Amino acid sequence: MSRIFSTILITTIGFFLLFLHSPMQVSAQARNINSINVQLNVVQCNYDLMCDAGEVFDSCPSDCEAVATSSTSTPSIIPEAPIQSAPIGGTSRGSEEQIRQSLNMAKDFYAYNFFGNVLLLWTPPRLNEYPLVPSFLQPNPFVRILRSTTGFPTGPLDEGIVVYEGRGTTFFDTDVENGIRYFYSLFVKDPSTGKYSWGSYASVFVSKIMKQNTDTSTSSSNISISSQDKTFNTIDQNGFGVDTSFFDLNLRNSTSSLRSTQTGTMIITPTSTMQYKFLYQSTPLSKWSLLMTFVYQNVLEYLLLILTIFILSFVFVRYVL
Amino acid sequence: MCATVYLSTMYASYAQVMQSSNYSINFDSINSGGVISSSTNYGTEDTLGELSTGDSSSTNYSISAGYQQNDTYFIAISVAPNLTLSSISGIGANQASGTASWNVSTNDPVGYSLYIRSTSSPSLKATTTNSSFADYVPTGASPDYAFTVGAASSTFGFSPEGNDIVSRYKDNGSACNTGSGNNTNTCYDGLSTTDRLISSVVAANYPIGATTTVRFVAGVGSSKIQDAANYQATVIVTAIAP
Repeated sequence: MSRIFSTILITTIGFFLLFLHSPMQVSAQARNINSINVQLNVVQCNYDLMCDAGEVFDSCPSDCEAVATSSTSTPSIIPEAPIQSAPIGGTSRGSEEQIRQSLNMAKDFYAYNFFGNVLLLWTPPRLNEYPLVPSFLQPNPFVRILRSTTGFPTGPLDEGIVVYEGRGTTFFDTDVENGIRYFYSLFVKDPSTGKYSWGSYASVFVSKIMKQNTDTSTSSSNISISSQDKTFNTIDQNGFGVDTSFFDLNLRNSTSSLRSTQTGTMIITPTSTMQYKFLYQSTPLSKWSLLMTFVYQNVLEYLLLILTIFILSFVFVRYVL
Repeated sequence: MCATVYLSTMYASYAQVMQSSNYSINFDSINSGGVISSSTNYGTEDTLGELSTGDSSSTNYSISAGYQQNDTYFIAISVAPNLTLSSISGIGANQASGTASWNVSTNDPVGYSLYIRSTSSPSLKATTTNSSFADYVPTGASPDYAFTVGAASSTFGFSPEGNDIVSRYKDNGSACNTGSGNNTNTCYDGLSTTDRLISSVVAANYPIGATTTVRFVAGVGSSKIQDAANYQATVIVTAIAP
């Protein structure tokens, strides 16, 4: 009986072990994951040579600088060149002046904001005014430059102020006010016909920014920065300009060195004078630097002075007396 | 005996099978017995007396030896590189687009489903500022056939392409969620932090698998000034063999 029981027990255990060891079907949900980063760089410049809203010189110089130094190639604000017909019967100004020809325009006509004034530059055409004179000896042609604050003067007799007449290639217009955009038109006069060329155009925004320094130092050193005028030469058609400035500081008897007085970039409004603050970074000097500074300022300076006097005296005695 | 060898999560291959020009034996086994049993709702195949069965593994491989072991299903998804869209201006109407592709393969006869989501809302955000692109919102319940962006807005959307895309992203040439077309650069939807089904098929496709390509588009409206910055969206795709 026990043998039968043992046989049954061993068989049962054997089957149980086989059951445990036999593989089973598995039907679980399989899953796999992958991730990526989608990256995009956005810049504030559409490179259309127009200083659009949102574009500033600092991030978009190709657009904003082009407009700031507008010249004959400025496409969007140059008026269509109208042909002014000669008045019937003439006028006191002379009808021949009012008929313009398409030849001999001045090239590269630029207007720059120059410390609150306007510097005009142009390249005149080469006219053979005197037939017997070689080309390179020909004088510059006569030009007339008109100025307006409302738009480009469209003709040599158009409304606007005649700011220059002559044979030069530059003109410094000082009769301008801060915070105003000026429009200049340049016309070349052909001496043989008395006619004027089509216009060359340039505009500029005049700004003169007064800096008022503010000392914000973390050290006890004496920082003294003189106020100075600052002119922004790059101002776009919206009247915004960006510029940077650097200042050199002289530090004497200081326990600190001042670094980087760069103001960074600044956007200004068209309106004239404004103030802004300078921030200075103060970095303590090492003992060695302080020692060298002391030696230089209190010893070496005088030694150099004595040496200079000695050399001069030697030269005087040796070669003069 | 049959062995299933896993070569990583991406690729897998069965053990060697025998075949002739007319017949093939996918799985063979030397054992002492076995039987196929079934009831109304269930069926089972058991095998008795096999030798050298069980699981073994090394650093790079694992094996599940045993005749019935083959019924363990797997799903693999390829790894896509990060996608860098071309730089655009934040001023004026501008768009940037790019594609990323995933290949999904499974031996599961019930097929797979592929989902997509982002890890943030909105998805495309500047890495250093608070600026962002809004997630694309179709004008109706179905995806937009063409990617559009309002004049005063900026948005970020996606469009899936592939043979297994779900009906939501199929089109009839002018509208989505209708027809059976799979035109490129059509049927735009927005990402969210919730999984959205983009591809599905009810069949095993191992070893070739199926590729789903997702086109991502970021657009700036004509009057919108989008802050200059580097923007980034983290996108997660999940393949599930149900």
